[in-house]
Amino acid sequence: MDTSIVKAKDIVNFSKTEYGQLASHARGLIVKDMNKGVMQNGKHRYKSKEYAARKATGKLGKFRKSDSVTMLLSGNTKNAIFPEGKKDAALIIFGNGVIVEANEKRGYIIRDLSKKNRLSSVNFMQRIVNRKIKKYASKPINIKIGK
Amino acid sequence: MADLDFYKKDMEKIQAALLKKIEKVLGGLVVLDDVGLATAFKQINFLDDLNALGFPELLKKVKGVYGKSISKNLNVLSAAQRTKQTATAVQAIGILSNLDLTTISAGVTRYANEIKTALFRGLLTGQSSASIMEGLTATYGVGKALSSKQQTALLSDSLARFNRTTTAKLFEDVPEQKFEYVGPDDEVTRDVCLQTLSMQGEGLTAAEIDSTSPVAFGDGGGFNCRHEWIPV
Repeated sequence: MDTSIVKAKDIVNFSKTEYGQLASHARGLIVKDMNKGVMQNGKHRYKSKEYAARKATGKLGKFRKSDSVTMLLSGNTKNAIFPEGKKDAALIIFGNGVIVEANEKRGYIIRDLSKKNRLSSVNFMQRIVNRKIKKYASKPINIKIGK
Repeated sequence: MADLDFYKKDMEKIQAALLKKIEKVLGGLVVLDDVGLATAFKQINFLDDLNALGFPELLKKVKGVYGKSISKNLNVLSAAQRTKQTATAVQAIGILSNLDLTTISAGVTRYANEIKTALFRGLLTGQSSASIMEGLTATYGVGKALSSKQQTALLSDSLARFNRTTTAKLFEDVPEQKFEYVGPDDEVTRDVCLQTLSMQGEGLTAAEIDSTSPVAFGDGGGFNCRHEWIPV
């Protein structure tokens, strides 16, 4: 547990770890949506012509693990998404860049945040601020009067 | 294995080139007596050959999966809210990614030593060049050992574990943070994962996960698990 003293001016300043927490939260929202087949541009259900053709024949092959195609077929694209906290920014790194960009061209966007997820991320940061306010307010303040 | 395809392909090229090189030198080795063989093998180091054939470059490529490629900056904060603090949690995560790469390097060293031993054993027992090469190709050739499905699965599992550990590390100072178990619910999902998916409600804290969940934070449901705890 971090026991360092929080200064008032630091309440709205964020550390690398806090930016990392924000990035981790946002990454989680993207992964959760991927699991449901929801893209960050609001598009629902990741479908492909190959999936439709296979579904029609009843031979799903590599798609057998899911009743609809999502961006989580093997889990490798998901596993290659990393949160990163910089000193002045929260980053989400998409290691599987080629696949992510190729899907973007087809309208399957995961390299962004939907309005809903953006709002959730802002609320998440607000919770960090609230946590710091609570920590700041819990510290006793000694005021010396005179000498 | 989508994003790790390059690893398998590049490693297969390295293995094929190494075996081709071994085949060439084998002609010179089969005519040596035991003393000559012992002297020659003191000078052979296949790890140097693997390095010359591009293993360090492949390792850099794998490292790229950990820390590069395309990114998205989350501009949910104003510039005035930014600071210049540092944090140990972020540094620790960087060290972990390097340790995972060390594991891959260790596997390559073992591979180089095993090939050397197999080659020496074959020559000492008087096997023909063709027979030795057949044995080496069957055990250490393209699609085997370092480029096998198991090795790629290990690498993939390593990335998944890295993600879970990163999440745990980032929130270790926030005991009230709740997490949700996310991942597929299909016919190949493990029972422990199905059980956890159904029991979490509004999310669990790290302490609650430790005490009530059948799956650990960092391990998920086990090897190659597709599930993870995400902060909510």
